[in-house]
Amino acid sequence: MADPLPQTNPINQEISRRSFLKLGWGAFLGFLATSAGATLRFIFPNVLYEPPQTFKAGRPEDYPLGVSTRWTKEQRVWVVRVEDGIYVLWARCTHLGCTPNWFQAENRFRCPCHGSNYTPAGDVIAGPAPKPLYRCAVRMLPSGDLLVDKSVLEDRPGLREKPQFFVKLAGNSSPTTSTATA
Amino acid sequence: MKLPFNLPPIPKPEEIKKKIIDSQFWRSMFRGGAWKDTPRDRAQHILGNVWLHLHPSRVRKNSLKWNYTFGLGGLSFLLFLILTVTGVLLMFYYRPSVDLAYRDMKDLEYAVSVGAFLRAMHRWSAHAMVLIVILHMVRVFLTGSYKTPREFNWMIGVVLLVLTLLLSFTGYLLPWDQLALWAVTVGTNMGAASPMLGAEGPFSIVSRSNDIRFVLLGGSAVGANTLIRFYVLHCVFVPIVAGALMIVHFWRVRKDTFSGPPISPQELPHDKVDTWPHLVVREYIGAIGCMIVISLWSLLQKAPLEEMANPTVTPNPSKAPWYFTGLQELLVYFDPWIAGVVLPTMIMVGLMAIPYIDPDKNKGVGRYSFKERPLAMTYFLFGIGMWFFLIFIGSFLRGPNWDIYWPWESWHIHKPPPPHTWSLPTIWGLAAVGGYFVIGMVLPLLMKPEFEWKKSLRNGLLSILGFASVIKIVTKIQWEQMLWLVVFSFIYYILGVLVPRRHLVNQPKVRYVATMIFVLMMLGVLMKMGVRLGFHIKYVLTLPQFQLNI
Amino acid sequence: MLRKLFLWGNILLLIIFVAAIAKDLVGPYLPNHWAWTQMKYRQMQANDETNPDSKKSILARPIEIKQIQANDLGQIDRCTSCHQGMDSIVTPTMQNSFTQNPFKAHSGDFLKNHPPEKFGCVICHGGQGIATTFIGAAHTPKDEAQKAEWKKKYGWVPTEHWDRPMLAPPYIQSSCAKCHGNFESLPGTEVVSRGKNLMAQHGCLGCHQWKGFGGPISVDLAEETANKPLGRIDFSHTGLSDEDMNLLNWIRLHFVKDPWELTPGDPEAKFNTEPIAPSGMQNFTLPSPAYPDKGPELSEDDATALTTYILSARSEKIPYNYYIPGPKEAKFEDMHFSSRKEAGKWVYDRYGCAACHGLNAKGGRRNFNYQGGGMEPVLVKTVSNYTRDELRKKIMYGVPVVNKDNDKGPTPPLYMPPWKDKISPPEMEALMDYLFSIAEKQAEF
Repeated sequence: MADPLPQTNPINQEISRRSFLKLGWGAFLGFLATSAGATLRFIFPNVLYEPPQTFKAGRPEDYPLGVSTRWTKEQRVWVVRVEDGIYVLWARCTHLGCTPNWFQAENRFRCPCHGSNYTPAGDVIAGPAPKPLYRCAVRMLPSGDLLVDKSVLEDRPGLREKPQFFVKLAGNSSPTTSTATA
Repeated sequence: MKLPFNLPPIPKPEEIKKKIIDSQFWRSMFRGGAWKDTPRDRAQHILGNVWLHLHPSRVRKNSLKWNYTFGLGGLSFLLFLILTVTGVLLMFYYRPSVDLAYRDMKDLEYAVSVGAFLRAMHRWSAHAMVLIVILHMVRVFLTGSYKTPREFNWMIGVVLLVLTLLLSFTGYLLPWDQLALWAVTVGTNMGAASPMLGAEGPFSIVSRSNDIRFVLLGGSAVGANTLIRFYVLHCVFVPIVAGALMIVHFWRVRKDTFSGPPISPQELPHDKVDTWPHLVVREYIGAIGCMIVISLWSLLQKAPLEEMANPTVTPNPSKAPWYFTGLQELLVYFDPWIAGVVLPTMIMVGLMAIPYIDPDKNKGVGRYSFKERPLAMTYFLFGIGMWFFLIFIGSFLRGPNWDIYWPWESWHIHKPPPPHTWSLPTIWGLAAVGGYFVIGMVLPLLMKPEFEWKKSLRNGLLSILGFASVIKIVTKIQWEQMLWLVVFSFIYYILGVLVPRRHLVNQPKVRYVATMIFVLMMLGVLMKMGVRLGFHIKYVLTLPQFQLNI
Repeated sequence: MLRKLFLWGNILLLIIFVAAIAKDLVGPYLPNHWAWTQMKYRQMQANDETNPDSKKSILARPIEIKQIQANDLGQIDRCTSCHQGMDSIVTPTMQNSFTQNPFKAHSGDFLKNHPPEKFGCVICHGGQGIATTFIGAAHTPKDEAQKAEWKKKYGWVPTEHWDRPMLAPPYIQSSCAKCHGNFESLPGTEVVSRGKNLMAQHGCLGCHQWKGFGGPISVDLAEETANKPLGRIDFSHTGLSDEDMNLLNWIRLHFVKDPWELTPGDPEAKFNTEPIAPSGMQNFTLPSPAYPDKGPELSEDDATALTTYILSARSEKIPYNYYIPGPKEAKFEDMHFSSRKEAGKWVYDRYGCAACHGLNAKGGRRNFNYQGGGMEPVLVKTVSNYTRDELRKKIMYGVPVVNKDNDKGPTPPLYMPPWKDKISPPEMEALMDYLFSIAEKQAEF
């Protein structure tokens, strides 16, 4: 039967062997490249089953001066109350990510993995940690509770004292300290 | 009792055997008929057998000597096989889920027949494999068996070493106990310190939620995703890659010819013997010996299992397995990206590069000879020695809070906190690092070309003691610190001045400089350890603008 | 030579493997292991049985690991592999004539109300249920004599890497309080009830919290103490031997040893950049400052009772239908008091004021480096110096920063917390009535 397409149609043009092979192998390489790309995209998870990063941490009045380990187990943070306010430290050593322990008797955090030591402010005083402890964003809700956001972190001195990471509290209006002796 | 009919005669055992071997059934599987002990049949044992035909059919007599290779390569492969078999058996009871993994490990110990033994075999074989692979590498180096034409095989070997360590690392997570969780936490955080691909490394182009650590963990922390990923890596992916590379590695051993000692005139014509039985028997006995050691150890020593993984409590101390405690100890002296990424990479690249920077293609191949290759032997053995020294410190001398605890001190007693560390100001740091390299490069050239070892050592020691005394008087450092100063200076004097002077200075300039850079860097690690331990200096050079601290 | 290696190598390998297999298959039949125990029990039970058919079926019973799957509690308990007297299938009546462990049946009526199929064993007794060996199960000796006996018989050592060993009596009573909010009304809970009462009497909740309620000065006993991981405890000053270093002893030592010895801090800044005060807790081995003539404020039995009560806060995954709520906490408004003084005393006790101000407000407690000699104010002596309004203000707002005795010394560990959000106005008025009523008139000051 007659050839339905005219000779001028590209399909009927002759292709050189070189071009043919180039096209064929090129397509195969393209296939390999896209497979590699797809595999790479595949191994990045889109959905994580991890707990939310914000939580309510109670009221500032419930925290005495010093370091509180109330939320360490549940949320991996320390709540530190100083004279003029409260800040929240993320309990992750900046060296390699272990959880340091709070030693009240020595007034410092000590990491068991490689011996990094931090002051209650989070500064490194011994050990290989390169940076101070991170502070989490914290603010007061209208209800009077503290809201801690662990996904926003800051460790640089100067920036970590900013209001986003430090809740100022009015100094305790205590009556004049009594001079009565015991 | 007499039967009413005659039984056919009972055939003799040899007749039965002959009947079986001549049968179609047998011959369809095993060609060649009955074996006779002729040279042809001995060769056929090897060449006609799919499992053995990588061997040559005849080998040189002195390549059979056990104290040449110590069979370390074969033992590595045997251990890999033991691990595969025990691993597959363990897979029948172990489920890689965070709710079930730990309980399955306990079940293997208490409720599965031979479970505790199998698990112990698996764990101790893994430790043994790491050790044997390292020793194999040392042996190959010491006999110069990496030199031309075997450079490529050496590189594959280094990759196989890394894969062995990766197999150990991924397998370590699977019991899901405290040791597993925190060792992997520390290890993957080192990955986060990688340059470019790690969120916390220099020149990072990725964020915490899509860097290489995120991919490894399958999330932002070690969890259920990590467990299944490591399980797949450990049981499927890395073994396949390692297996493929092993195929190439073994093939190349044949292809590049076995590196035995050179042929002496007395041996000509070749004094070759049949592989079957001479080599095969020795391999078999070596394998049996290894199996005996591993199984005896597994019988007597339980594989450890700590408390269940708890992300909120870090064990104190939390130590990596012994082959990584060297790295963990190194982390005391360097930032994570240096100790965890730069140094290991440089060590690996350095190892792979050895055959290509080795100037002498022929010296010392096929035998152990310190005299022929003093430079190579000295620095390689020193490097290995330093690595094992770090492992020793990390494994035995570090206790809670990573303080130094001597073996007789109880870990229940917490020690007072360590003294504060300090860092050199940037200007001094630049001067120190720059000066170290420049002076280090020049120092060997200043010595007399010919020197007597004993005299030079004595003079050197006296001069160092003199200098140190002066420093002690002037700066009021402690006695302990003076000791650090003396010891480390002396080591530097030997390895950084005397050895290069004797063996390296007569090399062409470029090679001298290139080799000295490696030497100075290796010694630099040791010196940094000294200033950290003796003088509590945290960073010699700190450039906070680039987040660069050395 | 090679032939010798070949022969002996193969033989040795065979021996080792047979030994490994035997360890698991034959090992349990060695004395005091689980299979041996089952065989012995089988024999003992058959001897007790008179009916020959039952005897036969008893002796034909297979030897196997027995386990209870308490799925609600997420536990697998294999205790009945040895303790067959407590297995309802092996011993249907759950009674037998044997008196020694592991053969004896469970004592008392506990298993009637707590069927083992539903509860298992570990939820009450603690230990490692999934283990099948004596040491693996984390058995705890109840006294030194039993410890010595077990060392001889079983080679007892504390179980490694298991931080919830079994609770020896009377500490096991802490498990009752885990589920039973109403435990005080149940039999067999005398010790833990005593512990709860002691906690209320001696004002522990003035400094500590219990599941959220209490003072802010020290740690939450449930969160930080009962659930404290061993790795965070510094045993350096306990004087305990290695095998006794566990959480139970750590808690108990706070009552039978001077806490200043247990956690000495660093008051002279020998190891730290600034001085750190020792523990703020009182020394309960001494008489209460309020009653200097009586014996130690807490006796050894008191210490045991308090430890038991504290241990009841160990966290467990208890489904809601296992939990029995207790009687509602009495509220001030609902109580009927015979006098204002009694009402005020109730408030004083409820909020733990005795923690710092002593029993019946009579004796101030020690407070390291506090001004005026390191003792907290004795309320009966100081209250008369205040007007009613001043006193109310002081209690409501507290004194968060207290004056030091020695300025270079450490910050005193105790301070007056603010009570304005905790003590309701009626309670506050009653409290003040009480304090003023017991105040000693100061002739001069």
